[in-house]
Amino acid sequence: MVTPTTGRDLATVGGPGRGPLLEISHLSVRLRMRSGPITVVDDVSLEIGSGEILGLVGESGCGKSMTALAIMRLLPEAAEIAGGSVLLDGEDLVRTKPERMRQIRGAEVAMVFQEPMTSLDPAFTVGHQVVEAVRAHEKVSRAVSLRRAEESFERVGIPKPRERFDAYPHQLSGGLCQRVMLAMALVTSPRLLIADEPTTALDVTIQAQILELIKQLRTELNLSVLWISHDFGVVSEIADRVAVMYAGEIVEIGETSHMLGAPRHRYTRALIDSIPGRGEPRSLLRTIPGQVPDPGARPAGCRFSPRCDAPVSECELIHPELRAERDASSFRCHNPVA
Amino acid sequence: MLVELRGLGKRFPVARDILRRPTRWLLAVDDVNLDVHRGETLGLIGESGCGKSTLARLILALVPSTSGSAVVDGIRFPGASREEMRRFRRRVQIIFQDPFGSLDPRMKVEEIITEGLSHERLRRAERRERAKRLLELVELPVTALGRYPHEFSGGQRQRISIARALAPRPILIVADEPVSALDVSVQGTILNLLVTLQRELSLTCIFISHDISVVRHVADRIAVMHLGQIVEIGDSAEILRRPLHPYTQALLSSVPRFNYAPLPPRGEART
Repeated sequence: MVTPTTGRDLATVGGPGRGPLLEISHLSVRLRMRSGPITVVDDVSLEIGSGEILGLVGESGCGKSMTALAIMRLLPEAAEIAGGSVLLDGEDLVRTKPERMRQIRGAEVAMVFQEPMTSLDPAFTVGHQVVEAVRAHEKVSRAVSLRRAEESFERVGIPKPRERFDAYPHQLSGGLCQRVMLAMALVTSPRLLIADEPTTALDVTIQAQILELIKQLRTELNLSVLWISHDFGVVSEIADRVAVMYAGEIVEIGETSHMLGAPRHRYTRALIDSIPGRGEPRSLLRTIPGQVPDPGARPAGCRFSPRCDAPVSECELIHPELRAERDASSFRCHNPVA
Repeated sequence: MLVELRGLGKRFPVARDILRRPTRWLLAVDDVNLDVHRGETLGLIGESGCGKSTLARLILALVPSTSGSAVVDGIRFPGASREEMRRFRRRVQIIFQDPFGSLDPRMKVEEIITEGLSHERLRRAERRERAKRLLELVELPVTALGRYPHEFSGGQRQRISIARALAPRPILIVADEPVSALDVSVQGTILNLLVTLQRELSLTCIFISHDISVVRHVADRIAVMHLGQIVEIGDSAEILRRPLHPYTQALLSSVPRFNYAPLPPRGEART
């Protein structure tokens, strides 16, 4: 069966600290449809070390966000976890009680979404929202929670926090809103931060600041981060390791610098080649033909084979298994990049 | 010269006194002088709020300027006649950022694409023929004609937007962040399409983006905007290699440095 990450030297799992903080094993998520259930996350295994930043990369519709929502147990109504486990420091989040899960959300695992403007409540001041985040988890006085909120604002680099408390989300810029979201996520000192495309809507200069900030928080707080993005460029800046997802499954996982220099899976290679910004000015970009297949209509063999530039005869017939390499990376491909 | 801007400015009132007379102004576009040659693609880059979209609206004559003048395709603003405006609206088209918000969800693709042709009083068959050719141009299947926008992905919708913009055979296209709402893997296909179309149809293009790594693939020249002014302009390769203005340098340095390069032939050092 699939042995993507087991049996590895744990020392290679990310940065400082102990073994993995989060251990996802064989996680599957099903979507109930009128035509029958379809699997949107298919047997995904991942681990994130304490203080490690793991990038999760793939195109829209490949199951990245569903994986994140499954960890948080915030899946939409029509979706359900069909199997597998999500161990946070040994505690299985898939099987834990809803009350306990509510404590974990925010306090131990926090999430930041793509659209800061729509994730904040427009009807309340940002100060109120951050204070509420504190008081949802801890029985502390208003004064204490205010101070905590202020510290959190300072930590994410919002100048003059007290003055910003009275602002409504629409009065702040996109970058500032994203910082408020981060402040809110970090105010309860979670151990794991799940960031779902948090910089997509931002200018490049602001994006660079946020990336810098996350790296700094990782060092200061030993924060673990699951960084979800469709943009390999951004992930290359921030992640220690990268997992590439395609059509619901992990197709390659490994150390960032290693993967970028020598991707093995053809999809990883194609994703890297399609990033704008390299090559001569005015040169045509390499692109990936076609689209991610619908979860209900995936090819029988390798799911990427219809779009692959170097398919061999097995590809159409046999679904490739995730192969572990000696350097603790693994990939599923019949005809890997040499 | 297709576009000549001379001392062009636009200010918006941000505060008014009790008689509603403006007391404070925001200078969105400040004394811009800019020429765009026929057949070239000019990249306009800068951060949110730097005035690049306002400048685009001025060039498109969607908002009146508050100072200076613009000559676009031989028509002078301010002061264009009604007849000139009619011609201008056909000759200058825009592609917007949001492929979801910019297409009417209740119109079929055929209607969306050919709406701008109503003045030509075409027969139905002729219109359909034009629509088909436009779809071919943007590499969408002909079957798309009878479908609605929601049935398409972001990249496909952006192709529909491009077909719509090309329908009246414009000479100038202004593309305002046309790929920034798309997945990176889809951005490439749209950028390639824009470059190919621009060459084949010898269009003049103004390409607006906050992302220099996107602009470099399409632009012959790049203009960098900051606080309403153009702070640097020049040949794309030159600006990327040797940015002179400190702001341009800052913009360039915040792009994720992505140093992956295919391995060079053996015996050569890797750069």
